Amino acid sequence: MPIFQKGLVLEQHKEPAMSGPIIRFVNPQSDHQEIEITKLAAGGEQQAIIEVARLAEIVDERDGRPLYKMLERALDSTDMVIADAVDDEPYISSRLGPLLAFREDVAAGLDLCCRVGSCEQKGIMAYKMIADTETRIPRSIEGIRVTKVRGGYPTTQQTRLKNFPEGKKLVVGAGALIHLARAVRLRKVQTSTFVTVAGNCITNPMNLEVSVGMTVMQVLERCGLSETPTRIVCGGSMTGIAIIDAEHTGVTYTTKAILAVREDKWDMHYNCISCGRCVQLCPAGLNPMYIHRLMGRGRAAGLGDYDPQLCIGCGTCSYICPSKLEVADSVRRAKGS
Amino acid sequence: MKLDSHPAPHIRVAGSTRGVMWDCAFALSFLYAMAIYYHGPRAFALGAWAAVCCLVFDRLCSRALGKRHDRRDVSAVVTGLILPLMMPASIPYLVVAIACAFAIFVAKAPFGGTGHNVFNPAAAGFSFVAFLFGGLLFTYPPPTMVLPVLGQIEFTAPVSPAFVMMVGGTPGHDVLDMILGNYPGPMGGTNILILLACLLYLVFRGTVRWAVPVSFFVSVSVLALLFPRGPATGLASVGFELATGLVLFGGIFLLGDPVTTPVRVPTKIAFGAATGVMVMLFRHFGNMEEQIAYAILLMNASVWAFDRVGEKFAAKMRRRRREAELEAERDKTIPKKA
Repeated sequence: MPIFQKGLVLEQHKEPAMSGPIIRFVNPQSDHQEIEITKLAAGGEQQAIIEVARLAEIVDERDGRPLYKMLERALDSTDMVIADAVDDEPYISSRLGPLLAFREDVAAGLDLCCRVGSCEQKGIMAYKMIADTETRIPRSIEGIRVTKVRGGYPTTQQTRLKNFPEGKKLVVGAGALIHLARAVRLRKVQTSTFVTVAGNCITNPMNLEVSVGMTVMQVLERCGLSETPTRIVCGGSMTGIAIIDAEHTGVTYTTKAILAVREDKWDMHYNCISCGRCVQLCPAGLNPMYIHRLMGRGRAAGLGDYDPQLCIGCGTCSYICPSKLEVADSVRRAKGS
Repeated sequence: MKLDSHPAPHIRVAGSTRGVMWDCAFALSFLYAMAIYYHGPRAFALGAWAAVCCLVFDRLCSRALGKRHDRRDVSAVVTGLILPLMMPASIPYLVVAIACAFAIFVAKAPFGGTGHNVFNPAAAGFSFVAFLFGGLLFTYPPPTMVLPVLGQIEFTAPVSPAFVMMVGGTPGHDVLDMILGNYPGPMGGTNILILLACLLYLVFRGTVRWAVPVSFFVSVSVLALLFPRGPATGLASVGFELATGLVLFGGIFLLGDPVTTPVRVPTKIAFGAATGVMVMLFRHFGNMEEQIAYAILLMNASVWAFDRVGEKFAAKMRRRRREAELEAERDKTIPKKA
């Protein structure tokens, strides 16, 4: 709990998944799918790369946007291409792990994106506030400088790009770059995605390369469950969605992690003592405590002065709450109402 | 496998409200250790008695109101531990029990229990018994006199520095004695060194936010420097105002209570400063020896006003910042025509 500074530095718990090897857990039928190339030469090299990205169905794992659309927009008008491996949520290393394991692919992917944007500058960004890892993040990967993003959770796009020179930037997830390099080199269609499997119920936490469409249960069984979890989460530990049917939920392109957690229900939901930690740490400057109280009393009409629409959904308020209340959920509902 | 739907986030900070309360109790235990050193096991007995009283009364209230008692809630213990420390070690058990009863039955439960109370329960309980049993409450035993746990207590009461200050004199106590608590006064209010250590501990544990106590002490000090009460002026006046009575103890344990103080840091600072002014006003123009509990109760009643102004101000700043951000984005996206 910070006393004076603003911002929350979380314990990262990225080990042992981050340092371990990336294990392939793919569907053999879909894994060998190849791009059917008919005509690539039209329009020169840049168009060819965009066409490969389109045919290979590569998706940026950060937000689910197709890579070829991003490349089309960046065509000939970019000053810098940046690989994004900022995993600022605890337990998750599904971009950082592949970045360290497939360095050549990331470099090749950056090179391809640079050719599309016709620029020279390349960069990689990783999260600085990771103290508990065994492997150090190197200063440069394949000759490309790794910039470490400082700051507590959540790191906004603004703070991430602050360290780079001015100019138009194309930011691509590290996973998408790896898939782009593979598509060009091996003609492979993207059928898999990188997923971190972790949590206190997982026997072997690791980073997996999982075929898209595989169920969450299959992935969990691959890593082993040491006890029955009460909560299975798809997505980040701070922002992910708790699923209720692991047998029928599939892994998607944007699933960055699967967490299986068992929690102590006895130690939850005390009375709010107005300690003000949520107010102190809210990156949007809101008062989550008051919004939670008003929503609890069903008085959504009085929310006007509290601006719940400015919430960025980071979940810091619920995380820090010593009374373990569902503050973030109240703010989310207030935002919707 | 039975899975429930939960909203994000899925990890929580270690430590809970329960831990916050135990932290407070832990800090108070050092004051009890000093009190036991000066007055013997009676100090411990008083603390335990008050804690048990408060817990039992809290439970009774829950039952009377038809609520299910939350067994994890230990805030009543903290209230109970604070109350005897504001009183002399010779205080009868019945007076402590009455203070506890007022704190829980009147100041806490009717407002909705833990987290909903408008007034600090300990301050309310203390003020109530200060009205009824002023004589018992403000005659302090000599600091090194070991008192019997049960039975009649007889002693010739020395003059306490707080009383000397009230009648316009200068306490004739050594600085070292003042720091170590070797002077007549309330059980917990005299150990300056331990109190400061408690403040540091609680602030660095995140249990008490620095803003209210620090601004309160600064405000009291500045006023003591500008308007000394007795012949002592300058830093001596500041030292005596801070060391006598319950200013330090109240500033840490009564004003450190997050429930009855404003939420945002700027409002907290304003609140602490205003409480300091109130205490000094009571000291200059009142005729009570212990004014801080009344000052705190009065200020508690105005917390909503501080919070409302603070929120309005925060909303203004937030919206201004947001507009600046949007403006910057607009400048970036739309290229300026040459």
